[in-house]
Formats: sequence, C-alpha cells, structure tokens
Amino acid sequence: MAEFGHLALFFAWILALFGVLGGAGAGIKRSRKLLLAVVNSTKLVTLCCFLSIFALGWLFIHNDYSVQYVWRFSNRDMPDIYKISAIWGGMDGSMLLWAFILSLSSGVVALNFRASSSALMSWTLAVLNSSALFFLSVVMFITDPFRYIKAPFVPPDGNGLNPLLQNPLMVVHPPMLYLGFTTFAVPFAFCLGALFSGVLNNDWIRLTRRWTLLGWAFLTAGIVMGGHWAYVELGWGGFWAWDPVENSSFLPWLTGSAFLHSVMVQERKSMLKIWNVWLVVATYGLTVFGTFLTRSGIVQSVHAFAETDMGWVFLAYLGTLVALTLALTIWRRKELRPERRIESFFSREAAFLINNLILLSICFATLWGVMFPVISEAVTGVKQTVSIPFFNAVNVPLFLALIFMMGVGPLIAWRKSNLPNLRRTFLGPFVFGIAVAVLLVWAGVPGFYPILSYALCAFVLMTILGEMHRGIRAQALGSENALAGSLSGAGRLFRRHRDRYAGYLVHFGVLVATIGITASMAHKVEREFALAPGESFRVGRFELKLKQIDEGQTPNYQSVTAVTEVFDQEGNFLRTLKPEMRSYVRNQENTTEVALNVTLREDLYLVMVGLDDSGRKAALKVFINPLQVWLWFGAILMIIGSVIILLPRKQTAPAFERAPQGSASSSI
Amino acid sequence: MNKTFIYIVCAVALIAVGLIVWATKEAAAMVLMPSQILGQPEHQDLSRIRVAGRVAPEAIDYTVSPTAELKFSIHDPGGSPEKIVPVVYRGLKPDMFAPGRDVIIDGSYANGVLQAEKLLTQCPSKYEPPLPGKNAK
Repeated sequence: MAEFGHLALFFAWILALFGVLGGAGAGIKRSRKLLLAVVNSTKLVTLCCFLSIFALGWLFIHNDYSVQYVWRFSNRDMPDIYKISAIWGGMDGSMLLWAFILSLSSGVVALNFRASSSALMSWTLAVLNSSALFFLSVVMFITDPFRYIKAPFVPPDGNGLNPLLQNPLMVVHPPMLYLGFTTFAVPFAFCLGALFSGVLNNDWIRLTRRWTLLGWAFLTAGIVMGGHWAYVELGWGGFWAWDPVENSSFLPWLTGSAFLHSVMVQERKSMLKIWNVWLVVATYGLTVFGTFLTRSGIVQSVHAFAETDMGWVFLAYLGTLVALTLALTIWRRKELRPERRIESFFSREAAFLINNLILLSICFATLWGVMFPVISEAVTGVKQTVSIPFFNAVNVPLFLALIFMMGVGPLIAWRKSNLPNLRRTFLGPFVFGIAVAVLLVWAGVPGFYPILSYALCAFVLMTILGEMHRGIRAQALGSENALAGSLSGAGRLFRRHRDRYAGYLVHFGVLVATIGITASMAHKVEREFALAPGESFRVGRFELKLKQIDEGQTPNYQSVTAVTEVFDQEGNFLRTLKPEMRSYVRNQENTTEVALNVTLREDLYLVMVGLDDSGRKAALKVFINPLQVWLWFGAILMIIGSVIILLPRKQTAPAFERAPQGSASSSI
Repeated sequence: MNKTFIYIVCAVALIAVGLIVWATKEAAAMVLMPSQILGQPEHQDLSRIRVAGRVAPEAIDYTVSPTAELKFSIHDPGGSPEKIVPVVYRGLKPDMFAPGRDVIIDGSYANGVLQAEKLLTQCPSKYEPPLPGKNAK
C-alpha cells in the first residue's frame, strides 16, 4: 500500500507539471484543446492526491508499522478516528493533507469550468497547478510520509499519537485550517491568471471574492477551533497566547479580511486595483510564510515542530511569488490604473481604506512581534523577544479602532458625506455608546480599554439596528397594519439584500466575540490553592468543596481525580466537577483534564495540578472567565453569516459565474 | 495617487508605527542561555529576560501548600551541566515538566537566582517523537 501511495503521488506530480506547462501554453496560444486537457488533468491531480492520502489512511487503519510515519504517530490501542487524524499528527502527513486539500480546491475550479473567459482560465489553472506542484514536490522529495522504517524488523506496536492531540477538536482543526489556507490559493491563482492573461476587467475580482470568503470562513473556523482546543485541553485558562504558530494562521486571516472589504471598493468604484492584487497575493503568501515560520525553527514556539531545512524551500517559493507579482503588476500597470479617486475623508471609500490600513497594521505588528527575535539579533547582535504584553499593547487599541470603523464603514455615504447625513446616521448610536460607557463607569467596571470596548460595541450595534430599522420602515411604507407591514417588510428586505444583511450578521458576530474576549481578558479571576477532602475554597460567587480524591487506572493511563462540589453563595449545590490528572503509561506524559462549568455569564474552569507531598491534599487551579462562551457564539455567528453569503442564489447560471449577482448586491 | 489617499495612509501608518515602537521598547526582553546569564557583567540589567534552558536532573524541589513553589535549576541545552542557574517559580508545576525537558522562562535574574514569572515546557513529542532508537539506523 505504501508503494501505491507513492505511485499515486508520483502521478499527481507529473499531472500537475503538465497542468502548469499546458495551462501556460493554452494561455499563450489560446488553444482550446490544450485548455480542455488541462481541465481534465487538474481533476486527475485531485483524484491521485486522494488516492495517495487514502493509502496513508489505509496504512494507519491496518497498523502497518513498517512505515515509519505510521509507527511514530499511531498505536494499536488508539480508536480508529484518531488513527485517521494521526494522518495529520506529524509534519509529513500534514504536508500531504495540505497538498490533497489544495488539489481539492483546484479540482473544484476545474469542475466549474465553463466555456467563458478561457484565457483567464488557462492561466488560472496553470497557477493553481504550480501551487499543487510545489506542495507535491515538498511531499515527494522532503517529507515523504511513505518511507519505510529503518529497522531490521517491523515493530509490533507504534509510538502513539500525543495524548493532547487525541481530542475531537484536533481531528477537525488542522483540516479546517488547511482548507482555509489552500482555498486562498484560488483567489491568488485567479489574480495571477488575470495579470498573465490581461483579462483585467472585474471578472477575476468577482470570482475571487467568493473564494476568498470561503477561505476566510474556513480559516475563521479553524482558528477558533484551535483556540477552543487550547482552552479546554491545555489547562492555562486562556485561548490565545500570540504564539508564532497561532500568529502564522492569524496573518492571512487579517489580509483576507482586508481584501473582502476593499474588493467592494474596486467593484463599485474601480479603485484600489493594485492594492487588491497585493492583498490577494499577500494572503496566499502569508500562508506559505506561516509554513516557513513554523517549520524552519527560526522562531521559538511551544508547538515545537522539528527544525528542518524545508523552511528555506518555502522561503524561496515565497520570494518567487513576490518577484513574479511585482513583475506582473509593473507590466500591467496601465490596466491597473484607478478610474476614480477618493474625494473626501468622510466617504465610504476612505472608511474602507482606513479599515484596510488598520487590518494591515495589526498584521504588520503581529509579524513584527513574531520576527522580533530575528530582527533584533540581526540589527543589534543581541537577541531580544517580545511576548503577550507587546501584542496586547499594540493590537488591542488597533482592534478597537477597527470596531469603530465597523460601525462607520457600512453606513457612511459613498464619495462624500455631508453633516446632516452623518448626524442622522451616527448621532443616535454615538450617544448610546457614550451612555453605555458612563453607565459602566458608574457601575464600577474597572479599566479604560474594557469600557471603551463595550461602548464601541454598543455604538456599532446601534448603527446596525438603526440601518435595519430604516430599511424595514422603507419597505413597510404604505402598509396599513404597522406590525404586519414591518414583518413582511423585514422579510422582503432580507430576501432582497440577503448578502448585505448576512454581512451585518458577520459584524454582529464580531461584536459578540469582542464582548466575550474583552470580558474574559479584563475580568478574569485566577486562584491557586490546595484542599484536603472536606475542605472548601471560596472564589467569586462560587464555593468549591473537595469531596474526595479518586485514583483510577485504564490500559492507557493512570489518573487522579479531584471530585469537587460547586456551591453558589447561598450554599445551594450546583454541580460536581471532576478535574483529572493523567499520566500516560506509554510515553510517560502527564496531562490535565480540565473540568468546566459553562454558563452564559461565566466559565468556571477548574484544573487539577497535583497532590502535595503527603498525597492527601489536591492542588487546584481555578479560573473564572466571564462571558467566555460569547466568544464561541460570536464566531459561530460569523461563520453562519459567511455561509449565507456563500449559498447559491436561485438561478441557472453555472456555479463559477454565479458570483456577480451575489456580490453586487452586498456592495451597497 | 491622490492627496486624500496619501494623507490617510500616512496617518494610520504613523499611529501604527508609533504604537509598535513604544510597545517594543516597553516589552522587549533579552533572550539568553543559562551560561550567558552567568557571563553577564554585574551591573547589567537583567530584570526582564527570557531564558531557554534544560531542566537539570538534580535538586528539583516542589511544594504545593501553602503556596505552590517549584525550585529547580537549568543548564544550556546540549551544553555542560556544570554551568547551572537556580530557578524559583511561584506557581504550579506545568504539564510535562520533568528533568531533561527544555523549558522557556520569562522572568528576572538577581542575586544569583532566576525568578520565573512564566514557565513554559517545550513538549518534544507533540509533533516529532524521537526516532526508533539510534540503533535502528
């Protein structure tokens, strides 16, 4: 089976190579025949990649420890689902997964191929195949997961997947991230395809927009799942630590978000063309850069990927991409000239530009923080580093400014806004925001940033509600029954402007998440204490009473559990929490199993950290994270909003030409 | 290029760069190896440093109550185990803390002791467990 996987990989590589050359040839010669061949070969690349990863999965399921990769990340006791997820438990397999998912999106592009704009498609497929070729080359020549074990015998059992990764979220999180990363390869391909072919009307922008939104939604889901996994699994009470690996998934998310906004300006006003080209390239480039960062070992990370030379291959690839784009934008500079200019600071164009610049500032600051050890060593000779306080100090104010722009951007007039207009739209929400701030100060909520954050969220919420109210009123005009009129008006409004209101839903999700992040960061309570059975500890509005310490034994691990009863202030029993400490037999790893009591108001987060020397007292750590669950809800709303926009509209146009209508209505 | 565009870009860029410079000055910490700490001149300010070291096998002292305190010492990963720096960490022992493990410590160094504010354990097996024994090669 390993040979079969290898062979499939080899065919995929050859076909991708053909796709690059053939696509370019079809683009130059305008040959339809060749283009059709490339469309088909692209589909075959997908098939071959699938067969290859299927072979790896087969090896895992059948415990074939003659393959080194399988031996390292699997063992016989593991449930089948984790054997499957062990495919991406290590670097070799995760690169194969990457190549497979990339081929999946190029396969979808090929499947949706229709007769129109064949010059654009030829080049787009050539670029897509070149991405696939790059990743397939990495898999084939550097991180081959099908290598046989270098041992004179086949080991009877494998090493096993790290227990921390044996979690349902870790089954879904990496593929989700890779779906996000690789989906960004499609906008990139369309962008370069447009530059190569010179078909620089708004076609590529429309096609690109849907794909970027899809990638963005996947990436959002992937990042949030990673955060949720860290939260429930790692036991430090938080969900984000500005670790290089986290940051490397965050960077393309930021540029992707920027593009999704600035693209509207291009569609409406034919401005920011070069800007958008670079945003698309930056988004794809940053996914490649992230891989370089995390695989090259140039920055320290708790994720501890193995240091390999492979990072430099990625850097070389990245350099090629940037050089190519630079050459292409210079070559096509005439076609990329803007048709209009920004007329006023108080215009939607300006607001979107500011939104973009803030997102890019956050991106740059994060990149700066990640690279600071490298930069400081190169410049001063002394290696220095920055950690969480730096990222918070820079990114929190920038994010708050972004939230403010989120209220302004969608409502301010195009071209130029006048004072009465501004007053009508923003005075109410602004006053409401101030009122919320005053109320919070009066209620004794501590901190400047938290209050500002809540007030801004209130402001943006009111702008959204105000906009809906005006829209519904306009729709219901002339109706006799006020309530029924409003309801049917609302229905009409949402159907007619589906994408716009789905966009507001995404914004609303951001608000909910922001409130969750603000509260859980600013008002977090953290305590450490030791209890003997029968003793209790008071924290916040909870009383924690240790009932007993249980010891257990499974084939996989030994465990110590602190059975803790939770009471409220009045002494009413709420529930029993069982934080656990596990010591895995096989690889002598210790892990903690967090016990959580989740409510809308706060999470009670209890960690068992150890026993004291006598073995009678349990050392516990407790976090109270207010409104934590709002973050996850907010993220879900963001994804639902994106999915609504992505849903096809009722019409018979072929799928890849469907984008125009969908995007036009949301660019109001 | 029009003026409004340039004004906006410059204004936002200026604010962002200002923030970054200020925050970098506030938060930058020197990255040192245990042996480098010992080699620093005495007047050197080491109140904010990050140290990457390996936990020495001997003298790990961990008490849970009344407050958790972990005392151990570190040496250069792969370096000589003689040049060791004692560490005090007021907090609970992290997952996977063990002799021979590589740790990253944020804290301050004074009077011959490294006060750890943050203690992170590198987990070597997360992505790449050791190969099947050197003998297998």
